[in-house]
Formats: sequence, structure tokens, C-alpha cells
Amino acid sequence: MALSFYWHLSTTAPADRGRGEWSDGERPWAPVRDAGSRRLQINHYDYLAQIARAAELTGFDGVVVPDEPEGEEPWIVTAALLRETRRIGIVTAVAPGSASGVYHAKMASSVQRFSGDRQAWLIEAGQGLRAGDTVAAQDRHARTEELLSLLDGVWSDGPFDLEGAHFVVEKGGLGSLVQGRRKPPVWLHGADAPGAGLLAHTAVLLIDAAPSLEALADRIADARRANPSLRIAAQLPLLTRAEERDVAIEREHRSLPPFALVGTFEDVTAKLGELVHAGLDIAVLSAPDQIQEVHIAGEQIIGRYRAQAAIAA
Amino acid sequence: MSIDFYWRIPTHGCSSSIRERNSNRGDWSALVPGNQAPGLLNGEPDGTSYLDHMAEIARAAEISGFVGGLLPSFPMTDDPWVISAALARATKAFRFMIAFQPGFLNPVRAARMSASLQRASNGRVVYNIITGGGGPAQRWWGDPFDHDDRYGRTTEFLDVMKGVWKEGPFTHKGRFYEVEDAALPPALAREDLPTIYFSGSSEAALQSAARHADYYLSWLEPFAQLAQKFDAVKARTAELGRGIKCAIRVEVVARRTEEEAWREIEIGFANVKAANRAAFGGQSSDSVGVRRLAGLGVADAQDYRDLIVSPNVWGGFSLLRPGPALGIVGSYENVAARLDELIGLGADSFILAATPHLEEAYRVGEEVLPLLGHQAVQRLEAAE
Repeated sequence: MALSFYWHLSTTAPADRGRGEWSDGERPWAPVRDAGSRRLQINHYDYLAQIARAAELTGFDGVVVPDEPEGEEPWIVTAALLRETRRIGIVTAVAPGSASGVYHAKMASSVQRFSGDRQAWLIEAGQGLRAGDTVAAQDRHARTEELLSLLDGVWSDGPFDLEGAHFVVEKGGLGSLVQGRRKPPVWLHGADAPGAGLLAHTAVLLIDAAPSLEALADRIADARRANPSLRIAAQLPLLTRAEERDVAIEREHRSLPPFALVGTFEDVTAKLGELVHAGLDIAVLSAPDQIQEVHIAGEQIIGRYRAQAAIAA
Repeated sequence: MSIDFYWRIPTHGCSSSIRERNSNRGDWSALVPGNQAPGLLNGEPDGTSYLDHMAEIARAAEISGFVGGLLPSFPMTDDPWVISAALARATKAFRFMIAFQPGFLNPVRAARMSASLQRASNGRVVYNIITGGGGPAQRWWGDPFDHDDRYGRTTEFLDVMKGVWKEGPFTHKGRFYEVEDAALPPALAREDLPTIYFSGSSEAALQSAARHADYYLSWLEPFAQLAQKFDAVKARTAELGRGIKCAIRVEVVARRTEEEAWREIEIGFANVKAANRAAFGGQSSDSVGVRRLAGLGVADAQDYRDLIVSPNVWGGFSLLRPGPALGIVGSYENVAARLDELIGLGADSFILAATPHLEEAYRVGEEVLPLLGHQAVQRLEAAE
């Protein structure tokens, strides 16, 4: 299957120098004189929507809306993007401890109805007491599994009953709200080391950090033994420029993890080919200064990759 | 004192007329003549959805002078959080009054969602916290708590949510919730807490309301009964240290003349088959408010006039659409005079509704609201 491209839509102020924020008047480029009236008309969501539209216009298949402690709440970001985008998938970070099982499903039913079935879920298994989540680390997989069983069960006419350790529902079922609607496909973090039971419910395994191509291929093979139809995504911080020298200059300003995609457009495109050969289905790209980097990624990398794949086919 | 007027966003479809009990605006019924069924054109998805119609209602409400609208939340409605975030950027002044139950969300998540939505909407979030309800619907939602527990939980939920938002890092170990060093990031934390509309008239409810609520919200009830209730709520919450205001949720049928208004009701009543009246007249719930209305005998009425409770107040609205029984029917002046009367009895805010919600937002906003403040009464007296 062809490689799909997603953009990791960071919603923290540092990811984009507080663009769209007019609250504190500290930004040198903000015209202080009319900050008050601007604040009523322009906010951070204008900028977030612009990144999502840029991803759509430059050929991405979707965006991942993460759950960052310093960022916006992902369900709100997701819903705010519904009328701003037309085609791209939206992978919403979903924390099982943050709402009742039925309410997760209920919010998803509206997102699917309003978006033409564009939502998927990325499970954030446990966030601890800072998030008011009292479930112990060793019980998190069981809870996620219970949530996904509940989602299966209520995404129907019902009546569906579940008396679980973490979620309950009696005579449940979303009925006409979900009739003909796609249940959100589920993404799991590879770093959570989900077992075979969980992987059976899963559409996509997101590998957060792959140390090497060999290690990646091994992990993919392991995961596919549990679920042959599983698709594999990898989180890939991206730094790419036209020439080596440009890459080197840019690199001085950025800290990058060892598994990042770094190099010229040709280098990075070739590296993606190797990742696909190792079994990768989805590249989740990320970079700071998002509006610029989305364009570089979309125009230079996605464009090149697809052109080469077309020739190879 | 200024009175806030909210409108209602119908979150499970709308009807094109109060005369017919159907949801022909929305995708819940088949595409037939007279049914807008958004989302389909010649049987194919056309890229629109019921969200787009709700956007038009919200815009009509803000254009015609309402401060915002209530987004009700029931098992078969679309979700108010999703609707609000999706429409924040499609509206300018419209405040989103989000109905929700504490059992839906963890309070830390509720704080984050609310603060993010405040940022997306420039501070236009209002809460309608619902604790009552109960019975089978409560278990449908996956919430097993019984009635008195639920008010205790509501209080603790709001304690934690406000604590995380405004006093973070916040630590709390209570009966229902436990958090440690929970806080919002600075950009979210500086947003204002939403105004809180609160329902429930038991002592447990009023204790919770006095601690956290800004408005006590009631459906329309017989006026004398409502006045007593408002007096009691205001007195009791003042005793408890923090007096709250009162608000009424009421459906209206306002027309140029009283006769035209009653004609809508007459036709609507006739269109409900006698066999269906029992089914439509009551709701399954253990809430005190619902039980209070069930005594009106909606199912037994043979004629729409049997359900006239007092001048311009009709008790059969639950036959015409899901929801409470009492509503106001009359000329623009009649309806305005009744609203004035309710203000005199202690109402500080209203959530109005009329079917179809889009066109009627204009009608009520333009024809009824400007008459408030005794103009309606003067006109009625002049006419006599």
C-alpha cells in the first residue's frame, strides 16, 4: 500500500512562537495599539486552522492532534477544524481516563457526522493524577481494551450492556446517530507496548521512536503477527532543505532526536522508501514553525515521494 | 437591571413547523418531500451536514439580538462540545450554553476543554450543568450514581474544575475525584470561568447551586408556583452565603394576533393522534421537575383548550415536540406581557425557543423582545 502522510499538529505556543496570541502584548510584531480589538477577531485557532488547511492543500492525508500538557485540548481543536478542512483525516488524542466511555463515543458520533467520517482516535493510555486519572499503570491496557469494547458495542442500535472495571453502560447504543457512520479507527502508541488483545482492536500502531531500520522491521513483524491487517505509523521529526549546507545551518538551531528524518529532499525521500520497505504505512511528520515546514514537507517530500512511487509502479 | 435572552439550538433536528411533530430538518428522517435532510443531494452526500443548519440558527440568533443559545444534550442529540467548538468560528457574538452532566467528563478534562473553547470562541462559553435526570437514561450514559450522590458529586466536580483552572497546581482527594498538582498551561488558565446555569430544586441541589451557580434554571411552571420557587431559591441560596439569579426555559408561539397563535396550537394538537398522546405526554425520569409537570394530565386532553393553564400558557407542548409541557402562546404583545410578568416574578434571564428555530429567532427577536419593559402591557390596554 502507498505511504500515507500525516502532520503532527502541535498546539503549544512554543511550537509556533505564540502566533495568533494577542493577550500579553509582548510580541514585537504585534501592533500594541489595536491588540484589544484584534484579540476579539483573531486567536490561536486561526493559526491552527491555517496549519491544518496547509496540510490539506499540500497533499497530506491527515493531521494528528496530540494531547500536549502545554497545549490546547484535542477534542476542541478537532471540532474547531471540522468546518475549516474538507478532506483530511483528523486523528484525535483520546485519553480513556478523561471521560466516561459513552461520552467518548458520543463526542465521536458528532465528529463523524459533521466531518464525513474523518476522525480516528490516538489512545493516550494514562495521564496520571495530574490529569485526575487514578488508574494505576498496570491497569491501563485493560482499561483501553474496555473502552474499545464499549465503543464497538455502543456504535450500534444496541441495547448494549457492559459492566466493566472502568466503564459501565446499560441498554446503550448510539442508534441513528451512528447509522452508516464509520467508527473511529484506533491508533495506539507503540511505546505503550500494547499486547495482542489490544492490537486486535487496532487499526494503526504508531511507533514513537524507532532506533534503527532493523529494529523497526522487527517491531513491525511482531505487531503484524498479532494483527495482520495492522497499519504501521512512525513519528518522524523532519528537517529537510534543498542542499546539505542548508540542512547543516538549520540543524544548528534545532535539537533533533536520533530517529529524525534529516537531510536534503532527495535524502529524505530515499529514506522514506527504506522505511516503507521495512513495513511503514504512515509517516507522521513534525517540525516547529509549522506553517513553513508543512509546505516544505508537502511540496518537496510528499510531491517527490509520490512522483517516484508512480514511476516505480 | 438587564435581562439576558438566549435562544435554543435544536440538537436533534428541527421541524419546519410546530404543526407537525417531526424532525424534517436534519438527517434523522428519510429524504421525502418537505424534508430538508441536509447532507444529501440526489441521494449522494453533498458535503453539508446538520451542523450547517445549526450554524444558521446560531447566526440568526446573534443577528436578531440574542446573547447566545442553549445546546441541549440528550442520548440522541449531537454533542454540545463538538457543536460549540465547530461553530465558534462560524459566529461572532453567540454564547454557547453547553448542557452537560458531571458524569460525562473528568473535571480536569472539563477545565481544559472549557478553557480551550474559551480561547477558540473569545470567551463565549456558558455552562448548563445538569445533575437531575437519572433513571434509565442515566445508565444509558454509563453513569450509575443515585440522586443524592449526584449533587454531592456535582459540587465536588465544580470544586475541582475551578481549582485546577484558577488555583493550579491543585491537589485534591475527595469522595469522587483525586488530582495531584493539576493545572492548566498559562495561556488557558487566564481565560475566564464560564457563567454557570444550574438546575434542580431539592435541598441538595440548592446547596450545590449556592456554592457554584450563577443562575438557577427552571422550565416554565404555573406562574404562582414558579414565583414561590424563585423566592425560595433566592432566599435559601442567600442564606447559604451566595444568592443566585433565576432563569426560565420556555417555548413560545408568537404571532401577529392571539387568534393566529392559537390556530397553530389547534392544528398541532389535532395532528397528534389520541393514541400517541400518552406516549408523548410524559418522560421517563426520576427528576423532581419532570414529576412536577406530569400532574397536568396531558394524555387525557380531548381538546387543545383543555390544556390552557392560565392566560397565554398552554400545557401541551410535550405533545408537539420532545421537552417540557408548558409554553406561552399569543400575540407579540401577549407573549411580551407574559415575559414581563415573569420578570416581575423574579426571572433574570430566559432561554426562549420556537419552531422552526431559524425563522422564529428573527420573529421573536424582532417582534417580541423590543416590546418588553411594559410597552406590551400599554399596547394591550390601549387596544381594549
